[in-house]
Amino acid sequence: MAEYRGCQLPEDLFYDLDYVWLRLGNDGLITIGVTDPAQTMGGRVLSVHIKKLGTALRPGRHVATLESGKWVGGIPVPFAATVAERNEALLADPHLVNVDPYGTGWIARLRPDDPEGALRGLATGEPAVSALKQWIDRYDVECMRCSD
Amino acid sequence: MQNIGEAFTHDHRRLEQALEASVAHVGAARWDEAAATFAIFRRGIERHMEVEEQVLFPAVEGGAETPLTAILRKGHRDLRVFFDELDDALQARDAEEYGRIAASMRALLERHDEKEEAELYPAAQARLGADAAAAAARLGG
Repeated sequence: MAEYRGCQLPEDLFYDLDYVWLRLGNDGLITIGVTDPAQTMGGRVLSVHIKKLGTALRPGRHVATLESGKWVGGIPVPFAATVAERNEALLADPHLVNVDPYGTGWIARLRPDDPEGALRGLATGEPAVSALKQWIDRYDVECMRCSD
Repeated sequence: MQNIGEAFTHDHRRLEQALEASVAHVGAARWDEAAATFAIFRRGIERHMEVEEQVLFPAVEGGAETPLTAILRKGHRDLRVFFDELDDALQARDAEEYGRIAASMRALLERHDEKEEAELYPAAQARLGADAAAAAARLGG
């Protein structure tokens, strides 16, 4: 896994090159979460709201809202989709976003309206890592892995 | 001469009041009044952000984006999504969703406005000098 200024940047995920990572599952659902540099910039997440199951989202709309002591942010979906699953563990313990952003800190699973085109236009692999490094420099982020 | 900090901070408070008025109207199911006050809020805050993006940010940057202006631009992008979501909730007459989105956006605005008032406006005032009054006047009434 690539690492830059302490931030972990998995090459096998898809990215909107802002807050969000995405992972395609074998069942066609797409998991969404926030990147390591984004969780660092936000600080310790204190509360999370995830849209209800079955909510239809247009591209750019928020699937979730995270709030920390110093930041509030919506998590946008890059494609039209329906909320198929919510991370109930995250609702109970929002800090999981900081502890394990690519694992247990996932936010929701989405059913894309256009399964074949959903991830088209998103970045992955080395180009994504390169662009995320620029994002990290732009916002002057130094990643820290939170513990419990 | 009205300076940047006074003018833009006053506008923040004016816009907060418009947002709170819309939330109160939604809570009381006064949908027409809610739509009218939300329109005042949205028109005003779009104007406010436009002047910041067109005048204050470039003045502070001097040709190169800084971490401060990058994070403030990002805040503006996030806020615009919340505006659309509030509009959706208003159209759907969904008071619960409107209140929830407004609460999140209010928290975002508080942090965003604090940063602007503490860091952006003093820096812009210093850089704009004699042009500061013209920038403040662009906010309108």
